[in-house]
Amino acid sequence: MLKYILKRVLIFVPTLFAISLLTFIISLNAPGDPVDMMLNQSNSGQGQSAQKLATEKAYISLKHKLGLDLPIFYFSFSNASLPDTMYRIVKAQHRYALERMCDEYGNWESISAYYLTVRNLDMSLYSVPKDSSIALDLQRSKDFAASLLETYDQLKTNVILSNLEYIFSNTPAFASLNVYLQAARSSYEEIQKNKSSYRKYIPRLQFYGFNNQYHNWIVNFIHGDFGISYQDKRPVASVIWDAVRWTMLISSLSILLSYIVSIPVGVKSAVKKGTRSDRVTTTGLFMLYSMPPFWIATMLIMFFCGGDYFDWFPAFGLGTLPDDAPLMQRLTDTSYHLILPLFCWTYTSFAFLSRQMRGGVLNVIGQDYIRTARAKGVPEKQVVWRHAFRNSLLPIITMFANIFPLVISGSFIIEWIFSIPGMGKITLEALIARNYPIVFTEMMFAAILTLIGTLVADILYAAVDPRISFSGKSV
Amino acid sequence: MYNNSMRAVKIAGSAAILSMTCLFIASCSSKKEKDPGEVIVHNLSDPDMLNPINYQSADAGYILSHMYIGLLGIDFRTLQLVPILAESRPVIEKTPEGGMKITYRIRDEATWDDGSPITAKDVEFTLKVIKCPKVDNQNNKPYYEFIRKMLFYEDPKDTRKFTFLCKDVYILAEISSGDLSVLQRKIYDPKNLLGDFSIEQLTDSASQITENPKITEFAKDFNSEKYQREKGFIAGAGAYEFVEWQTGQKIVIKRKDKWWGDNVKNNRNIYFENHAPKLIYQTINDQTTALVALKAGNIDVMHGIKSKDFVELDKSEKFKTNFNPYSPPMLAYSYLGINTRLPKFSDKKVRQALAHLVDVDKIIQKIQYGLAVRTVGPILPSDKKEYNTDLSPYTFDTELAKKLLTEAGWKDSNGDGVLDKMIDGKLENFTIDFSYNAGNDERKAVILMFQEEARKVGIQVNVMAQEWSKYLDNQKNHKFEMFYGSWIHSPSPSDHKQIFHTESYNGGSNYVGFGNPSSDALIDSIRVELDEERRAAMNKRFQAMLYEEVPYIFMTCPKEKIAIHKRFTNAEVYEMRPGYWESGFKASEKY
Repeated sequence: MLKYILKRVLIFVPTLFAISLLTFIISLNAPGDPVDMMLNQSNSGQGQSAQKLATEKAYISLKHKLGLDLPIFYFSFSNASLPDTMYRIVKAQHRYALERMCDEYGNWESISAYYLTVRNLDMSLYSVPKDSSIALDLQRSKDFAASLLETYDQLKTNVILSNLEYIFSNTPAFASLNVYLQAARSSYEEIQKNKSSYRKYIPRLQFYGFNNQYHNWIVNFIHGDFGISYQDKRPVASVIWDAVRWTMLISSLSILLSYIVSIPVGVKSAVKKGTRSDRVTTTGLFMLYSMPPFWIATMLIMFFCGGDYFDWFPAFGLGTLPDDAPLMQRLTDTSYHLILPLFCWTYTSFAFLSRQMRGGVLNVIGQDYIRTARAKGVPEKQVVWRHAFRNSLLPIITMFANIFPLVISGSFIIEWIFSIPGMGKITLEALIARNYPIVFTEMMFAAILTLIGTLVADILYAAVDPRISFSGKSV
Repeated sequence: MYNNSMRAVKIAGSAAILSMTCLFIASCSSKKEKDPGEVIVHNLSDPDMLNPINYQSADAGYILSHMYIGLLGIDFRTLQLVPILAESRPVIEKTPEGGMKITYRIRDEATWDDGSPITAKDVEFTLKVIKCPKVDNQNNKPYYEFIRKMLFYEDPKDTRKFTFLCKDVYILAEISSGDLSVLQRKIYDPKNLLGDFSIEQLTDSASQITENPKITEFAKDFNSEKYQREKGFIAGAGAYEFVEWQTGQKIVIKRKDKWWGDNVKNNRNIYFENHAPKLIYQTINDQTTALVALKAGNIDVMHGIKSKDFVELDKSEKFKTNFNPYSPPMLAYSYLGINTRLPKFSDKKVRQALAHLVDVDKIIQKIQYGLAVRTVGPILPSDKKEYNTDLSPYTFDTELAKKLLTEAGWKDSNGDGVLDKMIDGKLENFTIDFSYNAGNDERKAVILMFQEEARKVGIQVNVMAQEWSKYLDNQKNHKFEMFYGSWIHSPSPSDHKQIFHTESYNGGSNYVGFGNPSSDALIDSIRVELDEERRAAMNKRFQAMLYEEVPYIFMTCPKEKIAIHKRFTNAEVYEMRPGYWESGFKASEKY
């Protein structure tokens, strides 16, 4: 048995590694840029002439601060046309255009030279003093230059370049910038000349070493440093701890309550199968099951929380007493606040759990050894609870495995409606805001707890059913 | 064995019943008395932090405004700048180099909580914090870039007087300079780490000192969690002090027993009206729950009530006996953005035709429950001085729209019921992809209404719900045809550069690609015109320009929906967000 547990725990490591990798890759490929989100929470209207530079600066510095400008993983697998330093181009649109060009022409040296000349051209336009006589041309040139950085199509690029050449040749004020434009044009021709598209058929493995995003994250995670939440700039551990306390409290209470209620109900209705009481409980439980919790929760609040009807329960929160109030008083205050959320959190599981229990018992109760027990004259109660009950626990144990991640995952809907600052709410908000540190941390914890849950369930199987054994020999 | 398991189940069962009973008993005992003067304000979510320099959420700003004060503030009643820490509005002079000098003097009464005077040095320290590289206020730094230097007065010595030297002339300079929440160095920089740096250094050579260990240490400390939410690290010169923050539940601040502002005689204004002994910001995420809590008397002030709920509040006896509803206009407007740089929308006649297809009056009546006012442009009708009353909003007129579309060359040449036109050698049907942020039902309803009207003239509208971040992304990258958006204003003078200047097409907020040399020139001259009369005339001209070009179909300026408890007999509401000044509320004896 011990050997089995050890073996299972060892398997945790590669499993967790795979899960972390998957989480990481999926989230990085999700649309939306966390840096953009952080910078644009409030859009300032103050940009002066250096506005373009300033926002790009802010973007780069923030990206650097968050470590999002590092290579993603230890190695990359691509074709030989792509450079190993592509991750350094911070703007996603620029990177995409360059990748497409690499695919087509294969000669990164010339392509990067071209990219630099276009960037110089773009920047140089911002140094032209503003003057109403050239305002329109300047603006057009800026737009052209900006779109040049995002274009990979040959025809389009040529059109834009000739447009720029046309404007430049007709605007004396741009004379000093002509060098930049010529440089761009000639470096673009260089690309066409040195075309080496065969390179994209050569596979290449590129190693980046340990200074990559994944490594930094996983090492910090193992050391217990989960990072800083992007939204409110608090340490992730502190954010999660604040929320998980409440979620753990409520969900453990809810799990306890649902098992305490469902097991006897399930066993009872199995024993009295087909009677009126069985039918009534079954119907009742299924009616509860089919009512959505968000609706029930809203109805309960509207009718029982001091709105226009009865004032029996508080509508929101977890109690308003300060931290220094007597423990007993805080306990009662909190429990009072928990009654409605706890009910909404729990009632749907009654039907499911008790049906599982009922099915398990029904399976067992028709078997020969039960008939034998009855024939021996064992009292009915003893037959049910001693002989049948234990053997019908297997489906319940299977579900027990899911309890562990459930304890920390919380319920977004209930938390939202009752204003409970729990995990469900935090998770959803973090997902919407692309708050990766929080999302990663939660995923990892959920994964760890799921693994533990299945292990515990396996051990419980063996404990409940002597026929199941992990030691390899028959008992 | 049987007995054991049976008993276990029974015990567990009775324990469950017992605990439920306990909960019910508890329920009867926890009603408690509260001070009638306390004001409990509803918030939909917690603010991000209570650091007055780094915060981003609007709710944080409202709470902070009671604990931290700046040199100037905007009077809720008049929307004019009024002095708070400063004795009066600053003296502004233009310098020969094309910049400005802004001179303030801090009130003689002004002191910190420990009794030490608030001086020019405190303002300097605050400015240094704002400009300090690595401090997490990337959004805020550009607002203060224009201040290059501070001058102090040694002869005759006046520690309370100082001058900001600015490099340009700019209409928002006065409000930006007066807006900074003054910080006490003793609390925010006890080791005096910023003492070695000057404002000029932080402005001009920020990149060279970024890696300085003192800067790094200061920024790390200043950005840390304790300055966001811990007692002792949140303290300003305002009338209230921080008491506690229960995450996800509430924030409590209380009136200082001794506040310097109470001794002020001259130039008092709304910022010196602080009667409530305690302000509690209660977080309730769900609107419906919050409304119930309001009726139950758990909160006193609620803003942002949904229009539908607001009109139905009349039916509740409980609400009517205890609360007053208010609906002041808001400083915001909604619009339908058109991507003017797409070939099909490049003709202004097409855009005008689309404007004639929106039945704004019906939208106000049916979808917004009458709780909105129509606007012709980005300047709101409540701004009597600058709103252009000569422009009458586009009428709802399908025939006129049809005529304009025909003039622009759109005809149904192939008889499939959809208008078409040759564009770049291809016959294109007139379709519009119309996006909005998924989950916003009001916007969806408006777009569906537009879809129906557009269909009648032969335009096919595809309604597209987009997830919020994608919706924003698409606007920024100009990957849209039309979208439903809105802008929030501040009471400061309008600067249209961010939204309508062609320079804001790449990187700014000119998503629709509006602009031509003359509109750019007008925007640029509005930005530097300090004379209010002349600026009003220019703004009117700008509105006429937008009215003609229709980059946006300007829709409505919404009304705020507020409920305030009747015991606060002196409660007033304002256009300026959040719409009330809760610390000024006085509870009457009657309730």
